[in-house]
Amino acid sequence: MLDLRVLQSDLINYLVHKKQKVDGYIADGGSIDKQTRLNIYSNAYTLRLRGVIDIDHEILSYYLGDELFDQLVQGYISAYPSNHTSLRDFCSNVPNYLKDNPPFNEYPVIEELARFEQTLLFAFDASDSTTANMLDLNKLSIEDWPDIKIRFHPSMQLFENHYNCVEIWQALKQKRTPPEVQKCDHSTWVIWRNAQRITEFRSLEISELESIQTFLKGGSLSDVCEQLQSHYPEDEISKVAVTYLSDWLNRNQVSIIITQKNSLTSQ
Amino acid sequence: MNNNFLGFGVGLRTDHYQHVVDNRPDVDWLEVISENFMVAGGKPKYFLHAVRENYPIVMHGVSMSIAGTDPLNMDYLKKLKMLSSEIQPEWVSDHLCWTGAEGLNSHDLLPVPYNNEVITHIVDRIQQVQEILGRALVLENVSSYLTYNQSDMEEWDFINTIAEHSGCKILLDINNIYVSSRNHGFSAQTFLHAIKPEHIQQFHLAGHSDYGDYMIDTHDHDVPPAVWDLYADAVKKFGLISTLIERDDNIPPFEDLHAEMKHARDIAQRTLDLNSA
Repeated sequence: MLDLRVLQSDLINYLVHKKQKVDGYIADGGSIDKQTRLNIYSNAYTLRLRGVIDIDHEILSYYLGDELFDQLVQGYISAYPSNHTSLRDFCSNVPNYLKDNPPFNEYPVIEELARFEQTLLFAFDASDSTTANMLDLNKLSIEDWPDIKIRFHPSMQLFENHYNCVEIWQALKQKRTPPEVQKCDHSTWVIWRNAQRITEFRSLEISELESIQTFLKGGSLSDVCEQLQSHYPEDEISKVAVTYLSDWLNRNQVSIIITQKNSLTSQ
Repeated sequence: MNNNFLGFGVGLRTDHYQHVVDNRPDVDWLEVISENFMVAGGKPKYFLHAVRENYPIVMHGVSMSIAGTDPLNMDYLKKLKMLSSEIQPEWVSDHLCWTGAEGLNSHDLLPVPYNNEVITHIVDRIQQVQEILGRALVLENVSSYLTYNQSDMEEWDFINTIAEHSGCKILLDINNIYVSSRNHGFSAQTFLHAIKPEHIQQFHLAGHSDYGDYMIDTHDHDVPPAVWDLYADAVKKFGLISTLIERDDNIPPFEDLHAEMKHARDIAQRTLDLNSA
């Protein structure tokens, strides 16, 4: 079996790294020469991986334009040859490549745009899960509320950005001219898959972000209320916390409401 | 010998998920790409379960690398088995090829040399996979653009021997036979007639791109006349075999593929009528 192993090793290195000499393996004959035969596989390799980057990073490819996108494809395929069984994972290092390599790393918004697209993809086919709703919340007695903890839906992701990459993404998605790149202080978006299995996203105020983070760390509603004291007057805190909670429930962002007595979900 | 004849089907592609769920077109069965549904959840899984309620399903994979020399990918096989348990397909197929080596993946369906040493290697791996999946594997002949100096037998003898020794079934891709015959200068009829009927589980029909001196199995065109003719010969030789229209690029409206599927059914019916006349 050594022969087959060596042959496959040489051929894969030819396809991936374009260096190995392999024409000695290829039989003569037919209407085309050995190099044409090898080129068919070699071209197919590049075209296939280019197609995957194009599909997973459709908006990025519009933003870069043909020339820079070609440069990304050639550079990425060379730097990160696929070691994945599924093409689903092939683009996982595109943001890293953009962050580390010129000319892309001179424009950090490009890396952010790629990372945003990957976060959307993750939400698209993240695990299914039960979801909780307002009826579940209303089943609880009022004395249970301070202890409420929640587990968010597996599709829910937080996306941090320092540039207006989401606005650029939205404009390109709607086939409009994208806005000029602008640095923003720091903003965070929440991304999730709704009840119709459509991916949605919206920006978060700092107080809502901190509330989500508190729950993600295993905190309770009373912990969230305590944290909200730095943003709101005492008499508004309960109302704000309940508004957040009901918004998340109505948007399908919550899988389970957990109290000390039980866990509640609807479906 | 009907080998669980399912009738005439279409390969289900993303563009048509909603159409198939909403309209329940008159196709006998659907083939899905296994890897497209090896995801945790979301729309792909939702659609798969929705179509499974109304149609027999066959799972067709592209990543097993049954002829590879890297160890079998147990994580992949575990996911394949889980999906198979979830969907209960009529059968599970992949390709008689390798896709990568040394941990690198070409994501292509690469041919192997046709010789006894390779047969022994592949048969052993098929038996391992069949043991893991708990069912016979169905393997497709691939289109190829090169052959190796290390081959000492014809592709059809290679396929027959593997099926005989491993117990796997063959998904005979009629278009692939045609494309390879043109690329290597052998007779497609010779290939077709050499394959032993007892191994055949399914037919694939697809289109290709003709570059004059060679052909590429692009699956982006309608099934061309030469492939329809070869299909009629296949029906004459093998009888009614589950037949599927496969399209992977330049995807037309579902109705176009449905029309091709009906054309396959007409050809099969006409051929069998002539045979029995």
